[in-house]
Amino acid sequence: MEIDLLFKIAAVGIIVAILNLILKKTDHEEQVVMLNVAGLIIVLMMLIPSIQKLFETIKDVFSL
Amino acid sequence: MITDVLKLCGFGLLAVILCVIVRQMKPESAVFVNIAAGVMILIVTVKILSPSVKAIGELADGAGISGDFSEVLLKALAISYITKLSADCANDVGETALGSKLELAGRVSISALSLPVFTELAGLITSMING
Repeated sequence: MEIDLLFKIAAVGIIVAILNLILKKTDHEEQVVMLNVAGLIIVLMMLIPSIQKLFETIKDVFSL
Repeated sequence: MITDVLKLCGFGLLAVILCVIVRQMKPESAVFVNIAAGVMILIVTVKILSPSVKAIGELADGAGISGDFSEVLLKALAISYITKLSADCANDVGETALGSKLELAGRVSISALSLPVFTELAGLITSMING
């Protein structure tokens, strides 16, 4: 169990939310979309290895 | 074993708190925290389960039951774990239609998996009826 991963994902979410606010205040609506997509991709990149690990573990244990 | 459960419970509580905090700022990220926590908890759970799986295989061997049958059972269990996880994720986000389709896919694949066992049973019954 890597609790770090949870904190990392939460931190990315909070940072993106703050940057979102700043960009909106400074009238950069176009960058807001790009920022959200970037945040999404970063989080997915962190998440996918652990999902793969889960599937590998299930495969190993149940000898699929 | 008890330390594992304690760790899991602490982990789960922390994840829930984190989810609640993040949801206020950015609801999409709360979903990711949720999925990450779920995946991690399931990894540990499956690892805890692995001795039981081995024991079931050995028991079936000892009882003289063909290994194919217990294998089908365990594969069905694995399929239901994976589909349940993904369907729950979909339901949490509010995409219940997608979630129920995932569950349907799981059921269909389990029934396809258990088809050989069922045909064997049907063959046994017909041979008994025909004498």
